[in-house]
Amino acid sequence: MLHLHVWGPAFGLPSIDAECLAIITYFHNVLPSSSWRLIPSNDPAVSPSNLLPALQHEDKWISGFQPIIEYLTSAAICDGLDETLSPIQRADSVAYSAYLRAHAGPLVDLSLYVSAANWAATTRPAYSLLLTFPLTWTVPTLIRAEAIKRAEHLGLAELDTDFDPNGGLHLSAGRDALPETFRRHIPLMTKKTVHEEMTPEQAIAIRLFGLTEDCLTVLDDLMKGGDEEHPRFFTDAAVSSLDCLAFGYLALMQKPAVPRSFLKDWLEPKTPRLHKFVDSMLAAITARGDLPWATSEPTSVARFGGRILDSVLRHIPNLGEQYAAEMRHRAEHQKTGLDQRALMLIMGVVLTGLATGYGFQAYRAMQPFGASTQSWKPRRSRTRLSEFGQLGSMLSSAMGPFQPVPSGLDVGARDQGGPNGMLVEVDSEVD
Amino acid sequence: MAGPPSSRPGWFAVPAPVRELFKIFPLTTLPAESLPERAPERARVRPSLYVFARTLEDARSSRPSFNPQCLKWQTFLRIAGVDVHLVPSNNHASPSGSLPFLLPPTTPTSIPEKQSSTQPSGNAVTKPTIPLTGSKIHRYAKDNSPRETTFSDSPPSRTEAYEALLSQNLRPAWLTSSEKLYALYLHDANTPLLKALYLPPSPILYLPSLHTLRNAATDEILKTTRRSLVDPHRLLVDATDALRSLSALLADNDWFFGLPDPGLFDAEVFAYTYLILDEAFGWADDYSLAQCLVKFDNLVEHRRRLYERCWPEALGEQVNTN
Repeated sequence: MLHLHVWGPAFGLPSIDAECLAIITYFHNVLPSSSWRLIPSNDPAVSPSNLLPALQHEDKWISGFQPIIEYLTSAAICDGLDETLSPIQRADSVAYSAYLRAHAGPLVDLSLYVSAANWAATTRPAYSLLLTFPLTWTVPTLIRAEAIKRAEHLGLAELDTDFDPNGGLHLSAGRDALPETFRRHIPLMTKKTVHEEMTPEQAIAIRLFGLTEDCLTVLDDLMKGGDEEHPRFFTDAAVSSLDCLAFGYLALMQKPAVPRSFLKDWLEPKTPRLHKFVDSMLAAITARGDLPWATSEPTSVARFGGRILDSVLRHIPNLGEQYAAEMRHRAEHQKTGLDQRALMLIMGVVLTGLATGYGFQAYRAMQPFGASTQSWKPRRSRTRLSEFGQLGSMLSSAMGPFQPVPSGLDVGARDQGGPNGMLVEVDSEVD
Repeated sequence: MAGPPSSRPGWFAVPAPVRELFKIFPLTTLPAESLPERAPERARVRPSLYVFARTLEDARSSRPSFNPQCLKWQTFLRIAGVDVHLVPSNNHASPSGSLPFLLPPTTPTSIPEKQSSTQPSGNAVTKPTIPLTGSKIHRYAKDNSPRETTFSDSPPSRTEAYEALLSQNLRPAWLTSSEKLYALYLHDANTPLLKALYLPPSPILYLPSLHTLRNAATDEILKTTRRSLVDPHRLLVDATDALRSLSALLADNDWFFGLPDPGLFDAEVFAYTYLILDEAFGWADDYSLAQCLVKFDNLVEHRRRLYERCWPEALGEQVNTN
């Protein structure tokens, strides 16, 4: 039995991740539903290489779209989809797969993750449905940070304005955020320029459309001259691995209902063939029957807690990057447990923490420079107020003669001692 | 009261003896210091291509650069027959932060030489030239090619796909291997000139620069492969896939896409294949990428063909390296 671990469904698609979507399509096309299980584990850490999709076969783990396909063929589990292709078509398939990763991947990242409006309205809620409670606060932001890093070479950082002035409550948009009735009383201070009125997506629309056009035209050119109803990349093969991968990326461009749908706006009118391709692939998936969904094993409390701690640690500035690099180093060298390096690191962190904490406390305990030391001490230990520490002592010495009367019974006894309200000289030590 | 006579100096006038004293200065005016030996000439007759080069001699004799990006453009300019002057350089010299870049030759202007020496900083001598990078080098090479043959364009979308294949599959494998290479490279004490040019001699500076280099390479690989770990075995498998695809694409043709003349894509492939199979490069003996590449005879042939075409002067050496 093959267990395929993926990111869970979103936007009406079987997965939120392009490569997971691609490998699900591939499996669904080559294997009968009875021979594999689809597990939405939503945790890359299930596989040793920390990547989804991951295939678990007996006790072997294989991660990534291409490696899984190679494993299926090499372990003779099933025939590959690319068997019927000619050598040059295979070469094309490899090249265009690389092209998809290099160019379509960053576009999907831009649309779903980098664009602040789309992220807030669509992608983040989708992740919230997939993850359980405390992880919804920590994990999606990490995923987004990775996507931003992948797409930053395109130089479209404008999309990443979390302070989208047209978005929600923002200081510069204070006027619009107020209720209509209050707004009448506030004079109009500034007038927005045309550029400020535009959303970030509109402001850089030309560059965005340029990128989209470059990417999709290349794909569209390869698909030319095929079946008009069911377009595929290589017409003589029904579905190839390139079709699966392209479906993964293109479906994520077309299907999610994002508020700033620049990819969809290009895809529908300009490259109707690709648009039709996504629909026909999706229809083919549903036509082949249900996907063999299985519930993931319940995670243990320790593992869940570990994942929360891990994601929180990665959020710490500076330290988080070091931590991520160290974890990657350990995973690459397949180290588990404690070794000398890890012990040294932990010792280092603990010692640094202690030193910092001690320094901070010492600093807090220091007197402000130039201030004279004043200490207030009770002369009479009887005073109740002195029970309240230094402030109490100060008060009790200031209100020296006043004795709170706790109860009526005591009054008589006290009167015998002397006249009421004796004034007592109290001196405070001032140095 | 009569006004002061006009000959009388005002309140702010410098007294005559002081004025005399100051008139002596400057005592002598020394001739202007000449620019350092390696400074670029003020007027370029040939375009200069700034590349990574091992030694100054390598650059003077226009030997292939050791950086694939640089070698790509160097090769393409040679294919186009544009004679360039190679300048060994590093990233800090580049306006865009990366090499290579090309400075076109200065256009001679009508202003006579004599006048230009009197006002060296003015724009009278040369028009300031803008450094060219990437596709602009491509256009420059096309426009200035002395050859009559027009560059026939390869099918654009397929070329783009295969270029992505190079950058996506071959480059990460290249980067992992060059991590090893740099370590080996930097420990090499045989080339004192290299040490003087590139390496800070003290370990205090050398170790951090090596660390930065490795981190940059790791980040680059993780970004392009969209994975969370660097898996050298996987990268090698991807690179082999890429080479197999390129081999299938080339088939029995002389140049890629069946064109009569080599083009930019040939230069790009050559930049990798030349360096991978370059024995003088200092690869470790069990270098696996080279072992993958020698299996594809037509790529090796393509490399030899292009090298002979672009570096005809080096044919004698070619015999013992290949």
